[in-house]
Parts: sequence; C-alpha cells; structure tokens
Amino acid sequence: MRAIGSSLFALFLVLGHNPARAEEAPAAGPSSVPSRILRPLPDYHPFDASSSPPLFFPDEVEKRVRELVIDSLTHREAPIEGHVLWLIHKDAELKKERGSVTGLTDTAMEFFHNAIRGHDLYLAALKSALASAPAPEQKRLIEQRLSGDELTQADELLRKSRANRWAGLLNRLLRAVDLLGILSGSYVEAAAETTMRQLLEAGSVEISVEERRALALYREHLRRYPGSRRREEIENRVAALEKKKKAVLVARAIEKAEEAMGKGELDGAELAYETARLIDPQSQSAKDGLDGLGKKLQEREGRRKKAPAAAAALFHETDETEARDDRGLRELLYALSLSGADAIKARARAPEEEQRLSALHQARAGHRLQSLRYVLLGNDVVKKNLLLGTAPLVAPGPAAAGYVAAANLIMIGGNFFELLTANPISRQPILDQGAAYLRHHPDSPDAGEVYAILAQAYEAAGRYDKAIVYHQKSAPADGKKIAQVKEKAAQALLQAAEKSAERSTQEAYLKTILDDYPESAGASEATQRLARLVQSENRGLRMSKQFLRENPELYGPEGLGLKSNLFDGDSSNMEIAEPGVSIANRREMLIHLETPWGMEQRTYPLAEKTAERLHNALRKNNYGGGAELPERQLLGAKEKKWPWETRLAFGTDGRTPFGGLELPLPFIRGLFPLDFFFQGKAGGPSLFPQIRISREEIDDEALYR
Amino acid sequence: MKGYRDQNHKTFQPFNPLTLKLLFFFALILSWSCSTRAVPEPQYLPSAGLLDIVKGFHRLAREDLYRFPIPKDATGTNIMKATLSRLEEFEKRYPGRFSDIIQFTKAAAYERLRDYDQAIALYEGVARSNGRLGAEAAKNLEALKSFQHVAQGPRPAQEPAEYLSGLEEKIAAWSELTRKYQGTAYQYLAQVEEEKGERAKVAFLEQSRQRLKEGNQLVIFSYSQLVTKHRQSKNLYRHLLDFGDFYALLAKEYGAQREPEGLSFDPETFDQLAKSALRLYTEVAQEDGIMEKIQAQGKIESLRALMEKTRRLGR
Repeated sequence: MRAIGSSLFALFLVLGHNPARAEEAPAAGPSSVPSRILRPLPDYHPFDASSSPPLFFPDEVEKRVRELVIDSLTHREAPIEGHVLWLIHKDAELKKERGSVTGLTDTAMEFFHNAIRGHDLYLAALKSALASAPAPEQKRLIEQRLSGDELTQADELLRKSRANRWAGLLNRLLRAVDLLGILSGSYVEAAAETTMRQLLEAGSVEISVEERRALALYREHLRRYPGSRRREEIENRVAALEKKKKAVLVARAIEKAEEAMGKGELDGAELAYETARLIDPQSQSAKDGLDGLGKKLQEREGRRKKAPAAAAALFHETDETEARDDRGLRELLYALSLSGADAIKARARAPEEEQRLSALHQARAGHRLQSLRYVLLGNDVVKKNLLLGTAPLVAPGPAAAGYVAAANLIMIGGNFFELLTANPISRQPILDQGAAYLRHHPDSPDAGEVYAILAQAYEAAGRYDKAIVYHQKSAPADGKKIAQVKEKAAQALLQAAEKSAERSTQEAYLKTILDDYPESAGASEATQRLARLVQSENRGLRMSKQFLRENPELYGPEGLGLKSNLFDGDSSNMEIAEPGVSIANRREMLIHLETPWGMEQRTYPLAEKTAERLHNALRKNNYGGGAELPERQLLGAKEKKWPWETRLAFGTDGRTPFGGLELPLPFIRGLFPLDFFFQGKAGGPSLFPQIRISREEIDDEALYR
Repeated sequence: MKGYRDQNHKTFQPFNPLTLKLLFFFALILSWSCSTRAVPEPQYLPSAGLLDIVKGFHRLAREDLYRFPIPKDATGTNIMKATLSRLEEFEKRYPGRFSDIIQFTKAAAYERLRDYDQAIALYEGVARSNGRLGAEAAKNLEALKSFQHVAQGPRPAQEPAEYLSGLEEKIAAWSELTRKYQGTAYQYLAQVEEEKGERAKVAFLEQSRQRLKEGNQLVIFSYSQLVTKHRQSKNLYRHLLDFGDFYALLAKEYGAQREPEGLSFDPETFDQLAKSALRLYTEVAQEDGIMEKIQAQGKIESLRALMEKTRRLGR
C-alpha cells in the first residue's frame, strides 16, 4: 500500500513538471501536491489576448465607402458600379503589396445588386455573383437570397409536388420488385393495383400543401413585380392552380353537406352547400344540392305545420294512448293531493329525468356500436378491399381469396389498435348528454353514476384533468382509480414536455406535474428533469464544438475571442469539449474543456464588449441575437443529420400496416433520389427499390390547408 | 427629392445595354474573385460594419409599405427596428464615426416607422451639415414637415359631425400628399396614413351608430368604401374580417332584440346578416398564406354555431 502511494506521489510530481502544460496553463496558487490533486485543472485563461478590435484610421478606402453609402442612401445608383470597381482594384493593389484585401468588396457588390431595378435582372445578377463568390459566407448568403425568392420557391414547390405525384405512381409499380424474393416479383399485380388506384382516384380532386403554397407565392410575385417577363406563364399557372383549389374546396364543402344530409341535419347541410356556392358561385353540384335540399326543407316545414293539428286530434282520443300515459298523470295528481312540495317535485320530474338518463345510455350504446363498426369496417372498407383484392385476383386468380381474407383480418387488428390508441370515434354525444343530465338533475341519486360515466369518457378522450374532477364527484369515489388517472396525467405531461422544443414550455409542463400530481411516480421523474433543465450548461445559448468549428467567426477575434488552439484537436494544449460553450447571460459563460483528466466545466466572466461582438457575429451569420441572448442550442450541420440520411417509415400501403427503414442507394446518392426500402409487415420482410418522396417542411403549414 | 419609382413594368430585353454591361462587370468580378483569397485588413472593420448594416436597410427599405408589410431581415426582425438597434450598437462601438450617415439612416428608418418627430429631429441635424447628405436631408425635411402638419392637424371636436368633418379633411389632406409625392417613398407613407384615417372614420361611425340616423347603414357603406378603395392594401384582409365582425354583431344584436323564440323574430333577416358575415369570412379563409386565414376559420365556426343555435330556438 505504501509502495502504491509512493508511486502515485512520484507520478504526480512528474505530471507537475510537464513544461508544456506549465507554459499553457500556469498555476495561480501554490503548486503543492494536494492542491494539484484537488484542482487538477489549473487556472486556465482560454481567451486570445489580441481580441480587442483594432484601431481605425480614415484613409481613401473609408472615403470611398462613405461615398458608396451616401450614393445608395440618396438613390444615385449609377456611381455605385464605379465604387465597386475601385474597391476591386484596391484589393488587387493591396494583395500585391501586402498580401491582404480591404474585405469590403463583397458587401459593396451587394449594394450594386440592390441597385439593380427589375426583378429578372436582379436574379440574373445574383446567379452570376454566385459563380464568382469568393468566400463561402458570401456564397451562402447569395444562395439564401436566390432560394428565398418567391418565384424560385414557387417553381421548386410545384416541381416537387409533380415529382412526388409521379414518384408515388412509380413506387406502386416498384413495390412488386421485392429484392429479397426477386422471383416473386410480378408486374401484372402491381399494374393491376396501380390501375385500380388511379380509377378510384380519378373522380377525386386533390391539391397538395406545396401547390397551395406555390399558388400563394406566384400571386405574391405577380403583385410585387407586375412587369415580370414570365408574367403570362405565371398567370396561366395561377389560373390553373386557382381552378384546382376552388374545385377541391367546393368538393369538400359538398362532401360535408352530403354527410350532414345523411345524418338528417338539414340546416348543417344548407350551410355547407351555401359555403360551396360562396366559394364558387358557378358550381353546378352546389346548385343541385341546394335545390334538392330546398325540397326537403319544404317537406319538413309542411310536417311541422301539420304537427299541431295532429296533436289536437290526438287530444280527443281517449282510448289506448291516453290509458298508457294516464299512469304518470294519475301519480302526479296523487302527489298534488298530498300537498308535499318534495313529493310533487319528485313525481313531476321523474319522466323527464328518465328520458335524459335513457338518452345518456343511448349515447353510450351508440358509441359502442360505432366503435364496433369501425373495428370491423374501418374507413373506406370497399375501397380498401378493391385495392387489396384486385391485384391478387388478377394475378394468381381465385386462389388468392385466402390472402384477401387474411389481409382483412390484419386490417381489423389495425382498426382495433387505432381505436385503442387514436380515439377515432368521438365521445362528444356521451359528454353532452351527461352534462345535460347533471345540469338538470344535480341532486339525483343517479348523479354519482353519471359522474363516473363522464369521468370514463374524459379519461378515454385523454382529458385527465376533467376525468379526475368527475371521478372525485362520482359516488362512491374510487381512490385507487383517481390515483391511476393522476399517474396517466403525469405521464402525458412528461411526454408533452419531451416533445416540446422550448425550454420554457418544458419547464411549465414539469412544474404542472409537481404542482398537480406531486404524489405520482411521474413527479419524481419530473423533478429530475427539472433539475437537469436548470443546470447552467443547459441554460441560455448553447453552441456545440462542431457548430463553433463550422462558424469560426463566432469563436475568433470577431466573436468570443477564444484561442484557436482550443479547436486544433490536440488535447495536450487544451481542447474544447464536444458540448462546447454555454452563455447563460450577458455576464458569464461556461466552457466545457477537454483535459487529460476528463471533461471539465469552467465559468468565465463575459466582458460587455465580447458579448456585443458575439451578438454582432451571430446576427451577421443569420443566427438571430437581439437585445437578449436567445434561449436555444446551436448544433453543427453534421450533428443534425441521421447517418447516411436513413429514415424511419411507418404507415399502411393500402393493404397492410408496415414499419420500415428507408436507406439511400450507395454510389448514386445525390444523383438520383432512389433508395432501398426495407419493409417489415405481415408475410415477412421485403426489400424494395423506392423513389424518395420529398418531405420538405413548409413554414406555417396551417396557412395553406 | 429624387425618390425611387418602381420600374419593373419595363419589358425585359435579353441583350439590352444594361445586360451587356452586367455581363462585362461580372466577368471582371470573376477575374477578381479568382485572384482574391487574401486576409482582410483589420483596420476596415468599422467600414465593413457600417456597410453591413446599411446594405440590409438599402435592399429592403424600397418596399411599398402601403401594399406590403415592413420587410424582415434574415433573422426575422422588422428591418427598420433592426437597423435602428444595429446603428445604436455601432455608435456605441465606434463613437463619432460616420455620424451623418448614421443620423440620416436612422431618420429614414424612423420615417418609415411613421415616427415623424424623431425623423425630423435627425434630418434637421444632418441638414445643418454642408455635405451631399445635408441637401438630401433638407429635401426630406420639407416632405416630412408637411406630413407632421397633417398628422397633428385639427383637434378632435366634441360634436360627432364636427369630428367626422375633421377626419374627412385629414383624409383629403393625405390624399393630396399622395398625389404630390407620386412615385416616391412618401407616396406609400401618405397612402398608409390615408387608409388609417379612413379606418378611424369607420371605427368612429361604428361607435356612434346608435346616435346617428341610419347609423348601421352608414357603417356598412363606409366599410364597403374602405375595402373597395384599399383593395391593394396590406391590411385588406384585416378590414374584411372587421367588416364581417360588424355584420356578425348586427346578427347578434337582432337575435338579442327580437328573441328567436318569439313571434317578432324574422329568421330571414337574421340569416341575411349572418350570411353577409359568413361571405366576408369565407373570402379571407380561402386565401392561403395569411395569418388572418386562421382567424377567419375560427370566426366561421363560431358564426355557424350561432346560426345553428338561433335556428333551433326559432323553430
């Protein structure tokens, strides 16, 4: 033991005399051995001494810059070109003399671009500039401008939408080419399925979100640049897309009207037909629908007018009907003769109360029936069976009937799973009837049971807060059940917190768990997560090492002013660790350092000038940065992507549910969007070639639905 | 003031002199860029900072603020506000540098934010200098002072009729300024002010309709005028929603005054009012890419529920 102690002591002595480290990180305090053991990382100063901005002296370049800015502010565009040329020559001179440049020409060139009148010329200028852009930042900015142009975006969206439609069609054919069982590949089957699908979809009109966004962008472009040289072409596109959009909106409104008619809701149907007429006053289907509806409304009015007469006739009938209802009336008269207010109320209320209770039970029975229908038939059972049955029946013949039956069983399983997890059948009628009963009969002896029914309905709908309240009111209140629902509520909030990208929202969810469900198991998990959230490294602006490497101006003299050797991959001269830098507020920053002793976190004061420089650098690089530090994490491009652009896919191929992996095809990645698609489904795994469908996220997607 | 007229109406000719000039210019730039991979001189950092701020402002400040909202910079911030805050930072960092340019740019940003007092104060400072910016600032001052004069115009009167005529005068004055500054940035600003005046007039009529003869008809008429005249405005959908809200309010009031369960309630009158609101909401809800779409969708649902309930009560 003593020998080990002596060896360790000797080792520390050797480490303590490492000349390189002593030079990089001089110890501030006494270099005694215990001090080195307790504080293995000596006081290290990670900032570059030369980070203060250099002094500025006015010269001919500054005068030229001044002229350039004044010309642009006073809208004298002609001389701007001369200023840019002058700066180009100056750069050449400087390069020859000192091997440097002014660093102003790129920005000056943008003034030249800005001065170009006419959108087409401006775009042409940007494209030419892209070919000649010297710096990657400049290239990135020009690319951003080009891709941000409405017309470019609209063209691209429309192209993608068309490509996706064709890719969908081709993928249905490619689905027959199972590379794992290539011999089983049959194009006849795929062609039959594709034909059937096209036939079924022939009558339906669809417009994608991409097309709707493209339409909005084209219209915006026409509004902004009425003199565009592509005006005629764009106007034609707008007209075609408008027509399509109108047709879709009208079709949806009519579908809604017919659904309402089916349920006997004539007023709802009338409103929907009228909406269709508002969208397209020329719509013949809406006109026909309204005409048909008009007749039905007239019939209804006629029936209503007849109702009082029929009631009067019934009043004079004293036979069977009267005898049947007489019992209730007799009971009421008996109660009146007793003169007891409670008895009168009880007797008078009973039939109405029973009616409400029975309506509630009917709503429950209706829900059960609808659920059963959903499990057995699902949505579009005929369409699915046509898609499912056509191909096998065309290719192997009637022998495929067993396959169709098996696939139907799987569909039923899928529907059942969806019923349990996705709430496809609304419980609103139960909730409405239950609420109506309680509103009218809050003190009824059956109220406890109704509370329990409502609690169950809310629990199934995922409204745990309401479910808890109703469980507490139900008689007798089941403590165990309440605890279970509270646990479910806590777990739901934990999931919501996990899905949320905003730190403040996560915090709010976790705090709700602690406030409302402190006794649940989810509360301890929430406490741990909350503690992790408030740790300083998770606060404020976090920039990973990879991100800083990709944006050297953020850590260099124009940004944080960190030493460049922190990023050279050599840990012997101190290296920044992968979590990078966290800036909690405007006064301090936390740096994760990789040391020979492992990862160390150090907090350093943040000078006001450094914070300002960082803000400017962030803004220059289009990463935001207002008066306050943004609360977010900045990651490098490589950190955001899946390896090899692999994607997970779940869904249903029109026949059965599947889960799969989409893997890009080696060698041709980037040239052609063809992937392998490994699919696991009923009947064993399959491997198909598949055309990649573009799934680009659209900002504010809700505005295009 | 020279101003900046939109010249996009010109037909594009592939080989016009400007295009040839551009091609030559980019060939020169290409040769420069191939030879430029050198370190920038650190002494030009302040100039680079200024160019960086003004270039964004210069690119986006030409927008027609009447037809389009104030543009956003790359970080999604209002370009005028972002320019002001960036210039403040620049001034703190390099005190005294390019002060006239900074004051002028700030004044231009303030005028587009319609803070005429601040803009005038800054332009006055620049106009005192003898440089080129001074002359330009003096021209802009003249325009802005006429704006300030109209904006500060007659004080609100006690009588509704007087107040209305005051508003009308103001609107006419803005209309006059729109004509005067046709083809310049000030035309857009005057149009914005004219639209604001007309919206104020409708709001006033809406508030005092109970005291006016045929008040409701007057409000409907002025809303119709507003949405017809300002069909090109960026606020058109906002106006349409407000117009729809007014019809919905009339429908609600009618329902409240003559209870749907009673005999004096005329379902057709109620339907006519509600459907007028629905027509306006539907017009907005059909439009893609605008935030008002979501509002309109919500309002349609709410109005449908009201119509359904009223129908049920009226049976």
